[in-house]
Amino acid sequence: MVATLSGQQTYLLKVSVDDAESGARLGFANLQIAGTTTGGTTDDSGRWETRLAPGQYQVVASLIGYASDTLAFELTAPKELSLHLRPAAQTLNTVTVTTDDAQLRMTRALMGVEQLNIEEIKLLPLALGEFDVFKGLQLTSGVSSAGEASNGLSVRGGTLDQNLLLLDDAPIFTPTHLFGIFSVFTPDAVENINLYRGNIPARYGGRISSVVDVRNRNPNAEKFKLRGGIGLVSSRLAVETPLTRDKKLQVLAAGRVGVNDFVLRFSEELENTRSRFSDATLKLRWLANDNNIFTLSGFFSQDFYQLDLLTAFRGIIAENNQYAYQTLNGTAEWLRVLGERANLVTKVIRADHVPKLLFPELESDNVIEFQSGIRQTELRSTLDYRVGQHQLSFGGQLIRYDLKPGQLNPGTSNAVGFQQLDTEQGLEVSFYVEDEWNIGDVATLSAGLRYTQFRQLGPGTVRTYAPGEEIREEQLIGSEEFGAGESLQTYSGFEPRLGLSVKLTDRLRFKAAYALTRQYLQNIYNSTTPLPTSRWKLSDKFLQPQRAGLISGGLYAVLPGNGGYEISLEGYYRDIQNLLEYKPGADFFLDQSVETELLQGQGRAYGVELGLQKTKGQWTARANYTYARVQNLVQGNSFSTNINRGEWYNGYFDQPHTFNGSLNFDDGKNNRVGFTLVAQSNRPFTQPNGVVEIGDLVVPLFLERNNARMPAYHRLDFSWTVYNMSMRKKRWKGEWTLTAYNLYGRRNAINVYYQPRLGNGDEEVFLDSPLASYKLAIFGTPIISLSYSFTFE
Amino acid sequence: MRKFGWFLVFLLLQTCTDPVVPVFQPESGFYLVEGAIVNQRGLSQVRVTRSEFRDGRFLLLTQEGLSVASVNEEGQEVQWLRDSLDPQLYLPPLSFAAEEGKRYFLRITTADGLMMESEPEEILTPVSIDEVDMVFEQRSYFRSALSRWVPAFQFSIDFTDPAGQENYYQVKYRYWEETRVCASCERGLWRDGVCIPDDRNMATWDYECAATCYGIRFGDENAIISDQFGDGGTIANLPVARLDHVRETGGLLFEAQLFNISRSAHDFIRVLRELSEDGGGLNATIPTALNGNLATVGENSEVPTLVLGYVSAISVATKRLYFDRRDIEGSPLPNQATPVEEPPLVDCPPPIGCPPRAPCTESRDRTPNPPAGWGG
Repeated sequence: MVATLSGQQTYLLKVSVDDAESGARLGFANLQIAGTTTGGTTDDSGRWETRLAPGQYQVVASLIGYASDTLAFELTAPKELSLHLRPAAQTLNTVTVTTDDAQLRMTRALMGVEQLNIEEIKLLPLALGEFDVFKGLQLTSGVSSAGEASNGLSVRGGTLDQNLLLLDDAPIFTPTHLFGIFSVFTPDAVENINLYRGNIPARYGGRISSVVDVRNRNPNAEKFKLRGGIGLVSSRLAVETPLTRDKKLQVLAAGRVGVNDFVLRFSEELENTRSRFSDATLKLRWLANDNNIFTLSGFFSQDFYQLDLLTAFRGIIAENNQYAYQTLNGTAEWLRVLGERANLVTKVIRADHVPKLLFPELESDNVIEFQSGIRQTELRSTLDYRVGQHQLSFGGQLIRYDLKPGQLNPGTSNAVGFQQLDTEQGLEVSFYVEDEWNIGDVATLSAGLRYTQFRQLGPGTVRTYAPGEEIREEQLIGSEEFGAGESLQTYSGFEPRLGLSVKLTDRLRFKAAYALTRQYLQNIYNSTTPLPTSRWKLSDKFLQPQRAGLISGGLYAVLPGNGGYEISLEGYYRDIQNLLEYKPGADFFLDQSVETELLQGQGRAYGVELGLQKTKGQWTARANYTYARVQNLVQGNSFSTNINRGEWYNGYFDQPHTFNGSLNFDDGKNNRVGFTLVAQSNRPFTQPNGVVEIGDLVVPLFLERNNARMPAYHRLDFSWTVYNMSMRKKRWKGEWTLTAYNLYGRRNAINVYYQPRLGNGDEEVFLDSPLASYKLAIFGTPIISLSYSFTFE
Repeated sequence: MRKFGWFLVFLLLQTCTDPVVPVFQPESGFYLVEGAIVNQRGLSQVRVTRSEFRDGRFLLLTQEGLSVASVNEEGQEVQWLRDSLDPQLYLPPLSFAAEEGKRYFLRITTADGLMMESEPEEILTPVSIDEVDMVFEQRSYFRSALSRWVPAFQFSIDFTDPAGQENYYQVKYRYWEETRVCASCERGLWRDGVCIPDDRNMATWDYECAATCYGIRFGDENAIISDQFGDGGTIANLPVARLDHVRETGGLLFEAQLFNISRSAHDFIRVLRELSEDGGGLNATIPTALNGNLATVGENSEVPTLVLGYVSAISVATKRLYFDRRDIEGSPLPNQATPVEEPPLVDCPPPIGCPPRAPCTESRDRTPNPPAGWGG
């Protein structure tokens, strides 16, 4: 017992603040004893203490990104309190299987928002034992890929480039290693992933389908911490440690390296093939004082592959093909705490993606290099302000795009000369306001408005084609040059975002949402999925911004009992204008006038998503069923521009039925077992409308697109993790994970294709057809992987 | 470029390719026109068919009553005639050779008056081949079906691209080698120039040539290249062909053919190749229509008749290279098929008699006359 100067007795009050979902201690949360001048900030381990006279009090905790929490207590003796802050609605999750936040999910106004945390993803059985953010996301409703190897995700039927992929706010343009086998995000750095596929908050823009917001951990270690692992394909290591004695400067450094060359050398066929990749994350966090936090986040990823293939390509004669691409991103963030109610976050973001194609010339030491690049530089500032039942945010965003569509460096080659396409520049200015308003106990309204203006900037050339004619090289009638900084084309508009959650009963809510989005940057490619080297293109005079309006509504219920059962039913309809399509035979390689190869049309996507999950107990489970369609309409005056006779046709990711289920068991001691089942309609493909022989070539004849569907996809995976093996708390903790991907060896089709028959094989299948047809599958057998992960602290 | 997808197929060693029944969604009623107007005599030709779907089969049928003519920029029209052996093929008079620098198009009129025309194209100046080279590699490429490396001859050409203009090229080849077999019969005997069914022959029997005979093989692989990125440069080591080394001895005369074609013809061939070769892999090209340079003219219909295919104007240059396989340091691919000759009956009793030798009749595939350049 200690007396104050006045002699009144006081008691010690200890308060700890943590994240209600992850349990992570929250540093620098503001604490205020209501009705007094006593207050303070938690330290970096989430603790704060003070002394108070006996009495009745209320402590109010607040932190940017979290909803405030108030706890009433009576102090009659020394006391310890814990406050569990819920993530603020528009920045954090609605759904995790590992937390007991059903009530929060009920009240949130946002629809179509999913969060996966890293621990949840680590439970998933993975191909080749590699951690993969995307594989985790594919277990949520409405998310799929172009197959096992796909350079991105399709969300509610959208194309891969219609998703804004962010890693600590910096965009990722090539999100996968090994051309799509698994994602690039450094495993030991990632903390959680937010997927916005319904009501996209107004602070996000630039893509029409979804936002995938991947967050790396903030370094927050008391002591030096080391973690890592060894797997079949890659090995990884991460260090997290304070850099100063006061622990106000902390660092997280994590990396992963995959060098598969030594495996390839065992194969006579692949002895000249090369494959290497790596990624690394560095995050520095400096807690300057109670009101200022600075964070610096960097990400690096690189891939190199060599394909042993003699090539004659556009005048280039090469003994093999090499693909080399890298990403270098950085984010600097300054969080300024402006009292109890407001925070200002300012960020400077830079993303740089440089893909290269290398052609070692035949009988020469020279290497011809094709290089392209995309750089995005961004300044963003957001003010968050809490007043009454309103959580307000205001902000602005300035993005500068610099695209190098292609440059050919011949070296000493005589066959080709230096080539460079005109660079593209763009400036996107956006302002946004958001409000999440709790209307008593009855409803929650999330309203946002975003205004965005995009300007295509010079230097550049605007070509003019004969009016009323198809845009073709032959119809070019003139061009106009623009100087640096001059505006070539401007697009702008408002983007309203609305979300409403209405309480019907204590256990049942109705939700509805609307979002309008625009997209000024697109990936153009004439193949199943984009390559890392696929070209990016800004909107211009001919390529108008894609625009989508999404309306959705649904019911959410928590079932009676203590089982933690939840059920949700959600429907949506998305209308797309200026949808991007390609003319037959489009080729964008070093093409100065890509507008002659592009088409634009309309799209529509609609579906119903039914979800059921059990979140409590040793057994947890989730199951989703989705019925979803996506269709395109592209009309024109000629065969080349009138796709599928100008009628609606199935989109490239039209997969009507999808079922995902997962079942996990954790004995709470040292065993964790999980099963995952995925079953879905496969993607459309195109069956030929005939076959012709031209010269020596037997050629399938296609007059339409996406007129058939590949056989259904289904797969069962299994994982078993043994952790805490010694059953004692030790500084070195290791765990073994055994995974079986595609347990029953289903040969799921990733492509069905036609080609001339070679020899007389498989006559009983091909009969008298002049073309052979094959179904291509990868991972067609069970893939058993064993990996070891460790933590040392 | 898109073949990288196959890289993964090999890399992962976890892929599988299963044959499936080829399913088509046949479309009828379109014309397919495919041909060339060439600056050398005897090389111009066009094939005209119309699609129909009958009895569950997709067919490209011969059209009767067609009028086919080439028209130059001066309006001079040359009527083409149907080939006597191939009713889908139309040929100009033997003396016809398109003139360099002039623009030509093809006009086809059906019996019911439908007119189709190709877009006019100019006959460009042929670009000569500077050099034809051959390199032998004992481990030239890996053939999965044999699970081994295959020895092969790699042929390439050098040529100088004319500066100051965009050029697009197509490369083809043909080669001659002595052939022992001048006739073959499946489940039959070859007598008096025809195959007669015979129960003794359960497979195929070959008949030796009566005199020296040169077989001609054509490579129509539609290799294309352009000077889009290197105007006026030297194109060196451009691969033209890869021929497996399958014989210990024997001469081989190789002819490289360099076609100077238009940009749109080049793009059409690129699409052809993609459709034929690049449909597979993990990252396949989106299937594309064979939309070429033909359309109907003056048709009064809401839905115009679809005309697919391409008629190009072409100039061609050739160069030959001769070598004898006995001079090659390397061994041929083992276990090659050898001719199976008809086993003679004892004393060759009539009416079957002894197996005859077959004459080497001049045709597209063989000739009794040594080709120019044979023997070096």
